Amino acid sequence: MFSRSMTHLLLSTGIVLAALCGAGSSTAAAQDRDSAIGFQFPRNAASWVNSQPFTREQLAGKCAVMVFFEEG
Amino acid sequence: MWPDLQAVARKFQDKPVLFLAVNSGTPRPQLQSYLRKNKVRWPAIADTDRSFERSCGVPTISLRNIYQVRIMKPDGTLVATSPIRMEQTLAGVVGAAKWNVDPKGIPVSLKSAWVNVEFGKFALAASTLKKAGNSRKPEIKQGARKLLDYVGKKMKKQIEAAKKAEADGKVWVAFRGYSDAAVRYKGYELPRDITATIKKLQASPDVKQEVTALRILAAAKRKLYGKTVSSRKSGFRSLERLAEQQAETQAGREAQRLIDSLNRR
Repeated sequence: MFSRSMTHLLLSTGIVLAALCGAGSSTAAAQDRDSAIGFQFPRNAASWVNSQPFTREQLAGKCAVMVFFEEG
Repeated sequence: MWPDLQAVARKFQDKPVLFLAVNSGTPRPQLQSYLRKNKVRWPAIADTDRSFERSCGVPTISLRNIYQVRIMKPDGTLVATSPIRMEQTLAGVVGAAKWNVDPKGIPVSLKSAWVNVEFGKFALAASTLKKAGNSRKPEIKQGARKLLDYVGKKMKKQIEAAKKAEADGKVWVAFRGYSDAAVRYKGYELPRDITATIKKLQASPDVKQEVTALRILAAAKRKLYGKTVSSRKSGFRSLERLAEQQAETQAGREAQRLIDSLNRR
């Protein structure tokens, strides 16, 4: 159904869109309580390991536990 | 630490919750190796420039602040907790989380497809569901139909929103809606003319301008998170030009938000 050129088009557009969304649209000060900040998950597949990118919309109505760490 | 965290995750494996690892500052190949070594199979984010960490309001992860946990609640808000308190905090909020499709009646052979549908990975479930939808076994056919109906409704809603945007002259919004649908619902019964529609919209000046602006933003960000001071200055100047000269574009607005957030730091 999809032509190669269209796939290429979508991928190239996606890369740019991904870069945009990876910006971290709002930087908030450290918060130790509930917050409603507009964070977005990175949309660039290169920023993900073990999975394709997730979006907040995909996780609507669910919980997501995010463990931040530095080791590596 | 990881065995303890994964033990907590197992306790919640039948609940509508996703566990994510977010690594700050480490290159992706190094992170991949670390995750393999520690047998961590959770989806992981390689937050090399720490932009995700900042956007979640997490204090910079360092040797003095090794681990932080944030839980996104079903309403999208974040709650701060720690690896030690994680189980307790999650238990307090997970009750409000819901599955989109009731797992009752979903046969074991479709569980993997169901999980993909639940977490919005529709394209990954497409071939399994298509095949199962024609199964001779009633329970498999019924389970597949249930999931296909759910995906079909989501797809229809997105396509209709894109059509409305197109009719209202919001070309960029329509282009994004159709393009996203084409990728997200690949393998399902998409409108036959969707490829032609995307091509037509892509040729419009509005979409060309938006895509060009996004490319400029992407380049500016690469410089902004560069290693040298001159690179970062150059990236910031690019952002300023973008925000000023293309303020009406999505990228222009994002550039302005980024400038504002950097100025606040």
